[in-house]
Amino acid sequence: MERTRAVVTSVIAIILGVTLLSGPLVPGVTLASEPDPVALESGNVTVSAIEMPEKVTIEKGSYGAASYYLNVPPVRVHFANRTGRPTLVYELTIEELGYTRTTNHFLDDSAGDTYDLTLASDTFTDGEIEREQYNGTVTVSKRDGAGHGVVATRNVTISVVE
Amino acid sequence: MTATEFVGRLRQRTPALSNTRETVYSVLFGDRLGLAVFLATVVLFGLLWRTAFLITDSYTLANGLYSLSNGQLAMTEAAYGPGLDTPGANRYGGQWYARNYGVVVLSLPAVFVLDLFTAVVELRIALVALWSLALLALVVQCSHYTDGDWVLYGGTVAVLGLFGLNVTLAQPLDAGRTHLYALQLTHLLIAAFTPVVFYRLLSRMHTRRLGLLSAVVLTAGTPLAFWATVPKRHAVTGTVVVCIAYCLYRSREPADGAVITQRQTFRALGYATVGLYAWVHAPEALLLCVALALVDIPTAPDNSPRTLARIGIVFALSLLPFIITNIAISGSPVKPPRVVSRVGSLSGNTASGASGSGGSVGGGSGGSGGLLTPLAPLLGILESGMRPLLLLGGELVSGLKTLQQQPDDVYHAFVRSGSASGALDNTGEESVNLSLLESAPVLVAMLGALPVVRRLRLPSSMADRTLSADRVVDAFAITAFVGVVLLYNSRLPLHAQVTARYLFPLYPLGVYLFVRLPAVRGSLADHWDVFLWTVAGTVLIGGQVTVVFVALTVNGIGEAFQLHALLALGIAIPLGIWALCGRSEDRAGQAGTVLLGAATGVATVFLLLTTVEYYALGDAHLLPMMRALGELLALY
Repeated sequence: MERTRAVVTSVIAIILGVTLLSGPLVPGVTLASEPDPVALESGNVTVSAIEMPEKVTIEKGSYGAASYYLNVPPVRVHFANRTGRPTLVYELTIEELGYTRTTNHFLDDSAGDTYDLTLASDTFTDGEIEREQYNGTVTVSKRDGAGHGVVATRNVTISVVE
Repeated sequence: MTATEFVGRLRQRTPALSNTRETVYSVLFGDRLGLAVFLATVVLFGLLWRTAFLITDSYTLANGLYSLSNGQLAMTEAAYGPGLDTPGANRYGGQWYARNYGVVVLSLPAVFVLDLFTAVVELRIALVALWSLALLALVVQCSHYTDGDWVLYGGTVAVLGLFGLNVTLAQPLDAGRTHLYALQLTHLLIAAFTPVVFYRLLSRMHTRRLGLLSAVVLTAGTPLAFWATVPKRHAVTGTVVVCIAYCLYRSREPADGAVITQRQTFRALGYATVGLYAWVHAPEALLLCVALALVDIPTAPDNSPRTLARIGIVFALSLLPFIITNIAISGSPVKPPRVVSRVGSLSGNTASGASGSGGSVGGGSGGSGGLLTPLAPLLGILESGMRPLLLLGGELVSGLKTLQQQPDDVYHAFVRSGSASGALDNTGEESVNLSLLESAPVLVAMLGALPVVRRLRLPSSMADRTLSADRVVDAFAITAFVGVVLLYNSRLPLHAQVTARYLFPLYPLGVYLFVRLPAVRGSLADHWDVFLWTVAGTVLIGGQVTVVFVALTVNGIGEAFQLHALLALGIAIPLGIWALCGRSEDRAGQAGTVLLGAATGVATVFLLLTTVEYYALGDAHLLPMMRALGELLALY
């Protein structure tokens, strides 16, 4: 009984002690810190190969959900060289719908030699989709220390799947 | 009488409980298991707590609390949100007022405590420490039920580990938003008493084991944890409904408590709970008051004028904060801030449908003709007292009409939301408002009432109108259930409901009603271990399978919600069939328990994924480890 009480008391003491440490009472100790601001669009990226999507679809919501969901496969990017924190931008434009969707990817050292660049999904209401097929353009561009530039672009056919 | 004298007298009166700690214990939690339920619930709610606004209505409350903590009743400055004109805010005499003043006032101490923390320590670490201490307390309580000290030692190591992990991952918490955190903390604590009181009620009616299992079903199988930290009335309503049921039960049983020695006191307490709740949301309080009076008065053993007068006085006293707030704002004691600007709209958070039949009933006021002129003031008072009742009646009738005239809407609100336009979000694109059954598939077990009703024999004479304690609570639960359904029927399905939140009281009431069914009760009691293992298995294994499914097949939040909805309905169908069979012997009981556990687990998985992923609110989780989990998990 004595031992269990001692264990519990000491754990409480540790928790309270650490909490007190975090405050202005103990200057010089920072326990909760904001993440370091990162210098984006820095470093350098060179793409050696890129696999652009062939099939983009707008699908009727599955599981009985309303609306249509944009479904764009990821672009696989192979790097010849990658340093710092460059940004890759994946963009889809459907002119007939007056629609553009962009997703930015902020790369860091965890990216590896190949990277799957995704485009965030989106919805269209039933009223917006009137045809079975649309023409669109997918573009991958980069932003790094050397500036902005288009890496690859491709026309795609977007089929509507009911 | 000073506080020490009061405690001294209390001690003299209750020799069995010789110290105040024990008294507080038994008043709040009943027993050690009740405390464990409370701590477990607080720990769960803390895990899912996101320090952000889920719903714009909460801006009104946060700004109201901000002004009140600065000594102003009217809202002076939009410290939160885009401005003062947020949903539920009302203009009166050129000034904006908030609503739900009951919880706003209750949150004041929390603001001061949090501001104090900010002055001395880092707020994030302080709240992480509080959560860790709650977890430690839970470990200590659980260790009392096990042989040996391994739970205690293992548990303390785990608590220290989690605390260390959270501190390592911690980022500062914006100390300028303490009003939001205070509101969330108050709602969390109030919500944590729903399962506690639920446990106490059912452990008194049946066994402590059944009480505990029912509390698990309620906490894990319904969206309670989702709404616990959302500053809205819903979590409060749930607790109020369960408290009324508890008071009603105790008012029919011999008093054996430590502090309250007369059962009449419990009867008055039930009405006092309703009166205090009026301070938060008057229309629902009125509904609950009518339901309570309809059940309590006809079935009470003692309705002498003296008893009724006592209850009336306590009820009137409990209404005082509500009345004082109303007078301070609108000048009228019965006009809460919510209905100041829209005469006739009884309830509803949105204007849609609120000007329906309620308005036409309210419009007929002021008609005291020439002959009655001398009596006009008296009639005026009578009228202003009757008007809320007439409005309520109008709402209930229109709810009944909806059942006939718009069966499709009722189906979408209660059974299957799908792509129904009412179930979509504000932009009309995502199906993110689940039906009642999709939110809590266990509720389908209420179908088990049908075979029971068929076998039920009505008493041969109505002479003996006094019912036993459990029958009284049953009657109240049924009345309140029907009342809540009818009150909101004409408005649903509606956007911004997520889990049919208007119908929130139906979750505790529904769980109560099906746990009371002999087949469900018997199965749960006989196979309690099967039930708990099934819940754990569904959450741990089924949860992972669901995550994979969502990652592979889902493109957006609407599809994700509907996947969960179909999973819920998929488990609800066999559970419903079992409930209709109404058997709890041998295999049938085991099968039923597995289905109950799976339905509870499916709801938990939805709850966890919603708070971690779908409505992560910018990964604003209070606990750094949950934030990290939310950041790791990217499902679509």
